[in-house]
Parts: sequence; structure tokens; C-alpha cells
Amino acid sequence: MEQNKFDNEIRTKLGKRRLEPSEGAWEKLSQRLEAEEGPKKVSPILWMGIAASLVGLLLLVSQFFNADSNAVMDQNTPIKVVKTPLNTEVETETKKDVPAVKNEQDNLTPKASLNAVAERLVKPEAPASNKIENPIIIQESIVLDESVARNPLPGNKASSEIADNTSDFEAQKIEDIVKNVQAVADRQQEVSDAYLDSLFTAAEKDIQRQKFINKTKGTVDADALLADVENELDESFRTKVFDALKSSFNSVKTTVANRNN
Amino acid sequence: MKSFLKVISLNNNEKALIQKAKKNNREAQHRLYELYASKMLSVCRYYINDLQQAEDVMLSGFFKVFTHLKNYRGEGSFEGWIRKIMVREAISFLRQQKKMEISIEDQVVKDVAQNTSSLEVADIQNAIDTLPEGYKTVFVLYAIEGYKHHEIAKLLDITEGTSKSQLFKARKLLQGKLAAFDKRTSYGAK
Repeated sequence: MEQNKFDNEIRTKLGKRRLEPSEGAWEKLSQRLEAEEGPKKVSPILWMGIAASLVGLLLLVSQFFNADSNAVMDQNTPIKVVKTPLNTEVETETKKDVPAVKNEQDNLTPKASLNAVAERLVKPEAPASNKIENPIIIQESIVLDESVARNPLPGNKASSEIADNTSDFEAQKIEDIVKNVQAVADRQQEVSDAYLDSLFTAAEKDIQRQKFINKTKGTVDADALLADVENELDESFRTKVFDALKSSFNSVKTTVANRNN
Repeated sequence: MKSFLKVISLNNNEKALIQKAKKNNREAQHRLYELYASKMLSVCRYYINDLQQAEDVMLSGFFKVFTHLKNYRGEGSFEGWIRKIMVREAISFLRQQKKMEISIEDQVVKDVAQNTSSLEVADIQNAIDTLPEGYKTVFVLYAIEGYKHHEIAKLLDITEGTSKSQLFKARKLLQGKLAAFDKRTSYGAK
């Protein structure tokens, strides 16, 4: 009992004791707690908000750039619109030309009709080159044309000369073929497909050689290259001549037969 | 009646503070610290003679309190929960300092019946401080903290018999020391 009394007295006296910690004690503890917790965790809602705002920003930026590209296209569009009537005019002109040639064919002699056909075969190349769908290229060609009109460059001159030479040479070849066919028809012999093929092949080879010679002689020019590509896009020379001859051969044959009779 | 209502109000406030402190609310943690720091420093001082070291141990104890507050389920008093953490922290400190040695040597203990009513708290603490670490720890755990011998044995990793003998010897030694203090002070007073 005495032991319990002794213990109780000590417990009571020491239990009432309070010892105040030093002033910086809480600061020390607070710093330890801060270090333990580390950087404050960002709530998922905040992360979602940040992600949403980033997506919104990206959309805005993409819209902005799209608007810019549309503006560029808009700048091109008027040129295209301006160009369209020209194309239609050219097309209408070619459309007008075709019946005119047909009418002439009805009335002219076989020689004259053959010449008309030959002219028609040479002429359509110009409008065909204008039918390229890409508006940027059209614009460039327009700008180039305008600049050429203002300040004709020697390079352009050379390329146009090369083109003229080539077209003259082609016209000459067509004329030769027509003459050959006419000569055969004059002799009242039937013009076979094999004979025509041989004529076309020879003419085509000559034209290719002539083109090559022109290319090697002349300087490399952007317009000449462009014209070359455009020519490749068009129907081949052989197909064009063949179609033209096929369409007019019957009429020539009939005319020659009537004259002999 | 007024004091009863005051206790209920404090209890409610404490619960609210604990809930906030669980969410790392620094202000609530500070309030809880202010409520219990002085008492817990006194507890740590029972075991550790140096006040500064006792304070460091107390701060480590509070650090564990706040970082493990989610484990407190509200069963039992919050003060009791903090107190247990402080006691464990103090014993851990003594082990680290290699001061926690249970002496099996018998010290000469005179059977002295001591009346402590005339002694000051500081004298009692000074007398406790002079006890060997093993005696002191077992005595404080049993006589002041109210631990049972099997709990002390488990906590200090000793047998129950050792705990009992250590307590018996600590008590006798302390009574003799306090008697000497009492004689000295009485003599000085005269």
C-alpha cells in the first residue's frame, strides 16, 4: 500500500508539470512536415482543366493557321476567276473553229481541206495548255506572261523560238504525211494502216530528234520545261495526226474518186 | 455543469482539429501541437535527462503523430495515443544512445519509507535522473505511465521478472534518494 502511495504521489506531482518547448520548435516541426509532404499535389480536376485549355489553345492555333491558308487561297481565287472567262472564251473559240473547219471541209477541195486539217492539228495545242487545273501554276504563268510582256527576257525569247521551231517542224511533218497520203490516193491505191504507221513512226522520230537538237542547242529554261511537260500531258503527236487523218480520209477519198470519174 | 459543458466543447473542438490535421491542415496541426506540446515535453523529460534532447524527441514524436494521424481511429483518448508515441520515441532514443541497459547488478537499497508531499517536482525529477537507465525507465513506465509488467517486458524486450525486480529496486533507490534530498532541504531550511 505504501508503495502505491509513493507511486501515486510521484505520478500526481510529475503529471501536473508542464515544460514549454523552445520558440523555434514548431518551425522545425513545420519544416519537417513540409519536406515530408513534398510539392503539393495538383488535383485531377486541375489537371483536366489544364489539358482542356491546352486542347482549346491548339484548336485556336489550328483555326488561325487554316484561316491564313484560306486567305492565301482567297488571294489566288480572283486570278482563277479572272482566268476562267479566258478559258471559256478560248474554249468557245475552239468550239467555233471546229464547225468552221467542218463547213470548210464540205466546200473546199481535198488539198485545201487537208491543209485546214493540218492547221487545226497545230492550233489546238495552245488552248490545251491553258486547261491546267492547278490555279497556282496558272497564276505563275500569268505573272510570267505579264513580266515577259513588260520586260521580255532573252531566255524566254529563246524558249519561244525553240517552241516555234518545234511547232513549225511538226507542221512541216504533218504536211509531208498529208502529201504522201495524197500521192497514194492520186495513184488510186489503197492507203493501208501499216503504211500510215510507218509514216507516223518516221515523223515522230524526226520530231523527237528535232526537239532533242533544240534542247541541246538552247539553254535550260523554266518555261521550256513547263511547255515540255504540258506537251507530254497532251495527246501524242501520232494519236492526234492519226485521229485527224482518220476523220478526213474518207472525205478525201470520196473527193478524189469523184474527180477521177 | 459549466465545466462539463466546457469539456464537451473542447472534445468537439479537438475532433474537428484532428479531422483537419488529417488533411495536412497546418493550422490545425499547430493548434494540436500547442495543446499537447508542453505536456509531452514533460513526458519525454521523464526518460531523458537533457531538456534539449527531450525536446528533439518530442518533435520527432509529433512528426510521427501528424504523419500517422490517419491511423488514429478515435478509439481512446487522443492524448493517450500521442503519449504512447512519445514514450516509444523516448525509448527508441535511449536505445540509439545505448543508454538503455538493464542492469542486473543489485544496488544496495535501504528500505526507507518516504513521504514525498514536502518535495518539489524538480527534486523528484532530479532523483529520477540519478537512477540507472534501466531502473528509471521501468519505474517511469510502471509508476507514472501506468504500464503493466508484461507490457513493459514487451516494450523493453525483457522478461516480466526483470521488469518487476527493476521496479522494486528502482523504487527503493528512489525513496532513499528522496529521503536524502528531504533531509538536506529540511536541514537547509532550518
